[in-house]
Order: sequence, then structure tokens, then C-alpha cells
Amino acid sequence: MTHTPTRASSRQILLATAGALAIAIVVLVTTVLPAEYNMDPLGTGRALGLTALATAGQEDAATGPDAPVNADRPGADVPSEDALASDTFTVELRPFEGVEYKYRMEKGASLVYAWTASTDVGFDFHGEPDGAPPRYSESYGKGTRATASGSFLAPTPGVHGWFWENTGAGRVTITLTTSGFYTASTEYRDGERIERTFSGRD
Amino acid sequence: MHLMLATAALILAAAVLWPEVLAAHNVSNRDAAFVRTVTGPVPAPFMYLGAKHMVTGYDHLLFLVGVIFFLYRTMDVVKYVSLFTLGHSLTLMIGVLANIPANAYLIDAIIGLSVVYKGFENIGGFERLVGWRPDARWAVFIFGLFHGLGLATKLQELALPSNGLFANLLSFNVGVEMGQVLALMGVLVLFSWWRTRHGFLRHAFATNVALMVGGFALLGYQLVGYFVNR
Repeated sequence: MTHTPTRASSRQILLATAGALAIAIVVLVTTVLPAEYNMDPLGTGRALGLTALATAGQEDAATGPDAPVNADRPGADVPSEDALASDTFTVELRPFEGVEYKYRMEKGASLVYAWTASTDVGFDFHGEPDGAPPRYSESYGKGTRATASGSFLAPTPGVHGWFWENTGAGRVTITLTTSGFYTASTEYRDGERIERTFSGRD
Repeated sequence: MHLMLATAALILAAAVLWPEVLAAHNVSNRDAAFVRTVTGPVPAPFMYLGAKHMVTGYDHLLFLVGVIFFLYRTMDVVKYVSLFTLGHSLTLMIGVLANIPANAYLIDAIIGLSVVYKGFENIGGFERLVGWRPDARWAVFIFGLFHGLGLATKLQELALPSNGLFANLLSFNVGVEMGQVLALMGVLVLFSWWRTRHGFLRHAFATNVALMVGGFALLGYQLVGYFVNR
């Protein structure tokens, strides 16, 4: 093999390695951590204005064009670029079977929903934000009921929806009806995913 | 004079690429929005995304620079790059198809570590300080596996539609290889010129130490990310 390492002494190599580690730590602590994670142990991030990078997304959310809510009257008016979609989803669950049905929504997009089941089922209304680690989800509400309805404002861009589980011994039919600003839905059942898209525009 | 020109060219390239570098790594939002709308196989866009990810993925590039630093013969370059490709293709395909849950931060931390390893090896650290050097071929292959897993976690985050998944994945992988060849050609041209210069070995030492700085920084950045976002 034509490997020709540099002819440095042990001492030089040790010093260089330690130096590299030290420089990396200095760069991390003074600039990268403040800019990326808003962690500013030495105050250098504030001094250099780097922490603004880390908090930029949050400010946008409050004042930018993607503002989820009217700042004066929260939730009063939330304009949407997406077309209004309507959807009805019916599923029959065998005993101990579960199904998941989620909508793709942007931050601040809303939907109204109502679902009924022929008997009590376990449910978890939750969302998976874009960019979150696999299997990560945020729950908006869970329990055991035969019906639920309400309105929902997506706190993050991602997929949001329901997991239902038939906890009884008989078959259960669940019907979900929604209207809102979503662009696609996915049904997860028996390890399969069934995709649907909703487009009233383009 | 040549050195000054080269430095100027580097600074210019860095300035041009900087926005890309900032956005590097995660497939950008616009691309992600596209991927979500896909149903069925669309080879060309996925090939482009794969190539783009490789060309703008500085962690992969840093590692490759380290790998080919002291490879003078074309056959050696081909051999090592093939091992790397074999490694990351395996885990990229399997990782997405089998939906292997890997933590993106930890994988990226290991990729940072791979850069440190290569820089350390290139300055002769293993021979001088450890007295034993891992087989470079195995190291490249195994780190290739992690690089592929890193790519897989990025694709998993996108929730790729199952319709046409295999074809799209294959296209992405082909794109990754094309991007890698493109990036490598640039690096090789630079190296073949640089090696004829005086003091290449002296600069090589400094450059590999710089590589280690980059690797350590990536490592720390991802590890902190792991603990913050856990």
C-alpha cells in the first residue's frame, strides 16, 4: 500500500492532536453551540449576535408570513395557501387491531374533525413534527372513548392524526370526518401505508 | 504566487458554497416538500438529490479527502472509494427499506469521528503513538457503513412514500455515487497539482490536523445535539 504518513515525532503528533481537539472545543463553545442550539456558556454568542441564528425560527413563527395566529387575537384568523380539503375515512378493526390515520399539515394549518366508533376504542391524537427523530411523536390527547370532535391547529409542520385501537373482543367500525388545510393523508395498518393526496389547486 | 492563487480560489469557492454549506446535510425544506408529493418512481429528481447531498455534504467530503490524501496510484483510489461506496450503499438501502431506527445525531457523531480517525492516521498517529494501525481497508468499509446509515436517517425523516420506494432509493444511491465521483475528481485534480509542490509533506501535516479540528467539531456538534434534542 502506498501509504506515506508524514514524518512527525510522537511529541508533535500528540501536541497536534491535543491542539486540534482544543481548537474544535473553542470553536464549538464560542460559535457553533450559540448559533445552533442557543447555548452560550461564555456569552460570545450574544456578543457576536450568533444566538439570533438559533432563535430565528421562533421569531419567524411569531411575526413572519407563516405566523400561526393573529398576534392580537390568537387564532382569530389564520390565512392558508393550501386548498380546503374534506375527507371521510372509515375503517373496521378486528379485535386488538390498531390503525393510524394522519394528515400532512403545515404549521398553523387547521382542521375540524369528528369521529365515532361503534363502541369504545383506545385513541391517541398526536403528531410527528418534520425533522424529528424516527418514532418521535407529540400527543394532543389520548384515552378511551366512542366519539370525539373538535378543531385542531397544527403546532408544527408534519403529520398529525389519530391512532385507534380496538381493545375489545368484537369488531369495531370507526368513521372519521374532517375538513381542513391538509395536502395528503396516510393510513398505517398491518405494516402497510396507504397514501392519499388532496389537491384542490394546481 | 501559486499558493496565493490557490488560496484565493479556495476562498472564492467557500464564499459561493457557503449558503449551501449552511443548508447542507439535511435535505432542504423545498426538496423535502417535493419528496412528500412523490408517488411512484421518479429517477432523475432522486438522482439529483443524491448527488446534491454528496457534493454539499461536507462531512462525507472531509472523510474522502482524508482517505485519498496519501493514495498516489489511481488503482488505490478506485479500490478505497469502492470499499467506501460498498459500505454506504449497503446501509443506505437496507436502512431505509427495513426502516432501521438509527439516531441521526449519533450516526453523524460517528461520521465526525471517522474524519478525526483519518486525519490522525494520516499524520502517523497510529504508528507513533499507538504502535498499531487498524487495517485502512476495513476502516473505510466500516465507516462507509455508518455514512450510509447517516444518509438513510435523512431519508427516513422525509417519510418517503412507499409507492416506488425501491426505485427512488436506487436512484438516490446512484446519484450519491455520481456526486461522489464529481467531488472526487475536483479533489484529485487539486491533489495531483499539490503533490508536485515543495513542502507537500509539511503542509500535509497541517492539513490533516485541520481535518481533525473539523472532525472533532462535527463530533461535538452532533453529540451536543443528541443530548439537547433527546
